[in-house]
Amino acid sequence: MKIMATLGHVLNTPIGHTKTQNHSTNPFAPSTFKGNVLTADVFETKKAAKKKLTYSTLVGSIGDAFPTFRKSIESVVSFGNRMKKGALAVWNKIDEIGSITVDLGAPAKAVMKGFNSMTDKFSVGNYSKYTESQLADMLKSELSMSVVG
Amino acid sequence: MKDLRKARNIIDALAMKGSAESTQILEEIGTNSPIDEIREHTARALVRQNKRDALNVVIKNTGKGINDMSTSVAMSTINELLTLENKDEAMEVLTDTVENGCTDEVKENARSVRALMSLS
Repeated sequence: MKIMATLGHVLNTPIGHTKTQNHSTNPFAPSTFKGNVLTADVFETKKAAKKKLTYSTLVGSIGDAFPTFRKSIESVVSFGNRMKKGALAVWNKIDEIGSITVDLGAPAKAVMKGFNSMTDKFSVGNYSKYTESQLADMLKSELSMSVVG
Repeated sequence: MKDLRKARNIIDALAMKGSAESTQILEEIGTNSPIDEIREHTARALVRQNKRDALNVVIKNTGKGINDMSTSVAMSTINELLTLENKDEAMEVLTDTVENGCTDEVKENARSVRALMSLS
């Protein structure tokens, strides 16, 4: 306990102070309001009023203690709503377009065709069409470029 | 770093021709190239031809094929010789080189490679 008290002193926080609160005569002492504003009338003595007081404390604590959490929930909800609206809009557009289809295969084929033609141009099979003297010239120029480069 | 794919493909195309003219071109241009990769590729292409004149280039000549100054070129040529399915022609050339090589170094190299080939 001494260590805890020392630690509390260092951290400027009254550790172990809650134990003393349990012995106090204040009936609302166990719930630490920490500056929350109560929306219920504290001076009402009826049972219903006590319940009201408890609920208002609880709601006030949640609302004030977790503002970020509340904002996150709100943002998630709004995001979900927006996505829902967006998805519906896209679906409606697709429904309107109806017969129009997007073929992603055609551009891919064109790219592959271009690539293949480029590689075929310099393949061994393509070079074998040339005569020995032509190949010799090509090899010379290729190697001279290599030496210079 | 220059891309040598074109040059390598031209060398392969020349090797596929298999003519005396193509072998001469490969010897003149390919095996005399200052680029190690080209010399190596040419030597391997000549070995794959498995013909007497092509094998003579990479076995009997100083500074070419198995006698190349570059270890990678020499080792690649030897490796290609060892992977030949029919080694008869290469063994004949090696035996001839051991007996009638132009220098002692060429003879010694041919003897070593012949020993390796007989064991493989």
